[in-house]
Amino acid sequence: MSVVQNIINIVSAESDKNGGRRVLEVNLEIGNLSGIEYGSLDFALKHLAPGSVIESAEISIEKPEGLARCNNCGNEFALNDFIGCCNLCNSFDIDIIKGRELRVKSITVE
Amino acid sequence: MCDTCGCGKPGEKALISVPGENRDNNADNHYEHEHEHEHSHPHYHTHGHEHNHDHDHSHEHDHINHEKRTINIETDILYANNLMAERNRGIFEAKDLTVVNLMSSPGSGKTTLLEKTMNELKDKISFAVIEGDQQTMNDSERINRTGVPVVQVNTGSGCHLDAEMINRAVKRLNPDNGSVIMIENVGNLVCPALFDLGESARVVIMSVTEGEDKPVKYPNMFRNASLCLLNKCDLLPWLDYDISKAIEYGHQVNPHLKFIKLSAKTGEGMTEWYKWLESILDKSKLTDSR
Repeated sequence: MSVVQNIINIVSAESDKNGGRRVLEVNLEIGNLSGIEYGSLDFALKHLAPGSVIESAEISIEKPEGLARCNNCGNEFALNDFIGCCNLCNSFDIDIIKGRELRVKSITVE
Repeated sequence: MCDTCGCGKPGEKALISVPGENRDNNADNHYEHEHEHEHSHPHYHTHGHEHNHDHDHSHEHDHINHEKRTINIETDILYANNLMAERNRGIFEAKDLTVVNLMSSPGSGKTTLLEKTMNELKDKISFAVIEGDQQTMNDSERINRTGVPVVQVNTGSGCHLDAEMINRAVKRLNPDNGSVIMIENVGNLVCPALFDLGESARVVIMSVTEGEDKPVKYPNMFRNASLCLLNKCDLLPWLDYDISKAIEYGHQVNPHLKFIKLSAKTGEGMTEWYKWLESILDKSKLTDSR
């Protein structure tokens, strides 16, 4: 199941619930640790948007920065990679608490 | 289309088959393709600011002033897959199934490992296998020769298995209650990691011919696994492979990742792998016997 097809399905369902009004904006939240390749997403959106409910919509993507918490000392620190060690105690035992978002936040309709 | 790598065709459905059946007569299974979309001009931007679009389409412009309305959706994009994965978990719980998702790059030895495991344990444990590949029944036919029930999922141009495919495959397999289902995912260290299948555990297989730094190159995959099988250890005398480095890289990405060194070819280390399998089987039985 493709990510873009899922976006279209989610937007379509919401648009149907609201009288089928034209979708003007789609606001996505895709964190930099979500595992999604932004370039491939752009490519897929370009190919799947035409003819769909999002064809005339402006797509904006909020890209939350990664944030991790160290399980060893409790320190929270910014993370741009899946690998990271705590910048205080150097432990690799970390939990990613922000940056894995992969959501349709909202849409704007006519 | 897979948005991590752009593969796959929209609307294409995976093919599920069993070794020995005539696939042409299988009415349930056919690749479905969406019709080609007419390419209108896509108004698509990734910037945050507003644009005034110049429409050069032939439709009439509405001159009535509509008020724009923002609708909060806050829905996870992989919601549909995750929902199906939870439905799968429901089926697995009802039938007391332990489900293992085996992932690796192509050629690491997943199928050989499975063949050997089936042949050695099938009299002790009730197994069933779901094989995932883009094309061919080759892997399912190899498992079929061990006598263990198997279905083949062919994804066509897709590069990963997803929860919907597993849902259909398990229904086709119709395994005995209390079985262990081994899912051999499509050979790929990237996309399968994104798709929850409803499994009890994820196992990643890495062979010693692949380079010690695989875990840091593909962190998402290794972060989400509970066990890493280091395969083809019989080849170590001919390689410059540093096992401790591989384990160190693995633990940088996932400090809780367990490693087992083995060779599916010679049998070295397989006992530890069997013990691990038996331990997760017991674990799922423990939670059910409250």
